[in-house]
Amino acid sequence: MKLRARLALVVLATAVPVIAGVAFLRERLQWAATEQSLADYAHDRMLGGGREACEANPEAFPPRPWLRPNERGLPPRGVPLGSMPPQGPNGAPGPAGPRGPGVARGTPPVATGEPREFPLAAALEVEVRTELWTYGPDFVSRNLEAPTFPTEIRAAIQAGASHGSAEWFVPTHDGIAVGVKMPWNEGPCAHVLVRRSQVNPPGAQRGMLLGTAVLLAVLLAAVMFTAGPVVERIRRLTRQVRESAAARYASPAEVSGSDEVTELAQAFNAAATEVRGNLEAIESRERTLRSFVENTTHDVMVPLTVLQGHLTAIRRRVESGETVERASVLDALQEAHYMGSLIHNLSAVARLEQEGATLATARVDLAALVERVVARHAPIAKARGISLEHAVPPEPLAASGDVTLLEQAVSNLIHNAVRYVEPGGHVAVVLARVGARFSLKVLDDGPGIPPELRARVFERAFRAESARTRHPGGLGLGLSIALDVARRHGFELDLRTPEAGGAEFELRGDACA
Amino acid sequence: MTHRILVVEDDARLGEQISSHLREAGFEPVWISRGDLALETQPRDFELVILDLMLPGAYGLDVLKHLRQRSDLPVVVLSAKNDTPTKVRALELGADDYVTKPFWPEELLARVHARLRRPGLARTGRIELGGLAIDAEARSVRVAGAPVELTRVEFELLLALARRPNQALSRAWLAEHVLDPDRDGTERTLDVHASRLRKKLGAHGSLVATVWGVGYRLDVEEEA
Repeated sequence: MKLRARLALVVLATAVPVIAGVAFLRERLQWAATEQSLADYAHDRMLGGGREACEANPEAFPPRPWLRPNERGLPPRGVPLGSMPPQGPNGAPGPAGPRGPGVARGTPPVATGEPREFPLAAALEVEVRTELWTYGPDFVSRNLEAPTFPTEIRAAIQAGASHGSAEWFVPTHDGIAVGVKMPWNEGPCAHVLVRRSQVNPPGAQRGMLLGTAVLLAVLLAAVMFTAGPVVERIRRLTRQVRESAAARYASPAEVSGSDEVTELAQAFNAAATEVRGNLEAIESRERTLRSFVENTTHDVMVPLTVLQGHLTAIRRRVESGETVERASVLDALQEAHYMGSLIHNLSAVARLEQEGATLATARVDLAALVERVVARHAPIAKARGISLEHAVPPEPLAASGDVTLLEQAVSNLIHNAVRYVEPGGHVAVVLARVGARFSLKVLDDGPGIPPELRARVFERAFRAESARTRHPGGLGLGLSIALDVARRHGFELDLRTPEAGGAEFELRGDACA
Repeated sequence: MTHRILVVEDDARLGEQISSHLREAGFEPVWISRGDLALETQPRDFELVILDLMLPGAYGLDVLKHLRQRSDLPVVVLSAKNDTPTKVRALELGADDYVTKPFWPEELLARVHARLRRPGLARTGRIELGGLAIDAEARSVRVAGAPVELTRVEFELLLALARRPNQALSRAWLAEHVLDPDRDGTERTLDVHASRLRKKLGAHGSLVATVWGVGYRLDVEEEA
């Protein structure tokens, strides 16, 4: 449901019951006030000479003029006794003829003070009339013209009430009947019934309905007027949010004003920033992954092709009964080994280059790591006629790090040595504890690293050009990964070139307690 | 003595290959290709398990957990997923070692040998290796039955190497743990002691091998 329709509905749903409740309450109060005033009127009349007149001639009480409609509404409350029309023994009207109660005050009947009491009724010139009838203790009137005493009032009085009221149905409009118990409780005038037509003149009701309708309309208009700009701002924000979403949250929503809509716009902008960040991270990961897959595919195809070439040559020789050269088998083995290393390295690069890459740090048993890595390269070293030896301290020695990356770093150092040491040469891996630190050395007696390459070994840019190509000097992707891994762990990786020749890499870092 | 080894590997070619390499190396492999079948095996029937982590039927780490609840059989995990959390989890769950694919048959065999050897580490007072009989408590050495007099440092050197046969110890470690700390404790001094030890062991002197770039090692025939 639209906001405005909902607001209108809410206004109606709350205003209508309230107005109805107020109207009902008002009617009840008015009824009670009228009842009281009529009861007072009965007392005043009867005490002000009415009793005597009634008891003197109950069959003809009340006298005629009392039953006359008083065109201008009710007799006022508290009519002075003197204002009673003169009564003859036969109850005939006084010589003054038809008179309002105000006659006694010397004013014309039409000019009574009635408008003060019922201004609306007066204004609408509605006929209002009041009657007074008397009854004996048994609620039976001696006057044959008197109406039957209403049973519910009778019941109320018998139950002890001093007076009671009931509706008096008169054609064209409602009326009220009030029965009053007189203090003397005997004679033919022990009870009095006062009836008055027109408690709520129809004009008043119509007026009230009209007033209510006007009030509701004004209320609704006010709500609509207030909601208008808000609805418009929300619509604009909705449009902007849609546009922003379509543009991958690049454009922020306009923030103006300082209300809830402003807060909504700000909240959206914050969410959009977050979404954009996540989107970029995902895309960066995806790019990294895609380039990893592409690079891996490309890089693996080359050694794989070489491997297939070696295997084909071997097969040809076997089929033609020639002896297979040891060298071609060795090359095939090396190519396969290289391929395995390459894939691990590419996967390591993918992890290291990923934005916000974090290390999966855990306690790493360094002796086990050295043994694993040496075992990985031992078959190739053996096939090449290279001695690959290692020593680890008998005592446990561990460091905190990412076991996959550390293993790959050490593997690269060893693989590098094993690949470029001449057959008959040596590669040694020595792990030792030095105080609170560990030292992991990989040394070889190979050709060493040419001076012109030494400075560039650990340059990051060096990798870019040589990562995808196999460098004759052997300093490619592997060493830069080793250095990168060391740095991320807060370890140091140094290259030394001993005087005796060869190369010595040393990885140092804090050991676990 | 043949060692029965349980191989849990779902790939048919790899499982077949591992089994055949183990057989050639003198082991008795039992190969199953499903994780849920691995859950039903009796650990006491085997001396080592080679466990792949990517398995149909049950996840390798669950098999490992299940196995560890019932026995402390050595487990070598085969991991194709080169991710650290899996490895760390496997080690936490009690795997003794892991080998990352691709691996060489020799590489796997080396890990298996290392795992089977480990519990047998000589910690007792008497060690007999390749014609050498070393009594750590009596501090005496016999070569081919004949007693040989060694100095304190020579004896400590031989004992340290004999406790880890076929495994090299670095000169730095030996210098620190074998040489008298009050005297000259350089690696050159160690070399002098090693050279004297070799001479005293006579024909068995060649057992004390110099390892290039590392240190020394006691070479003895591997008992299969």
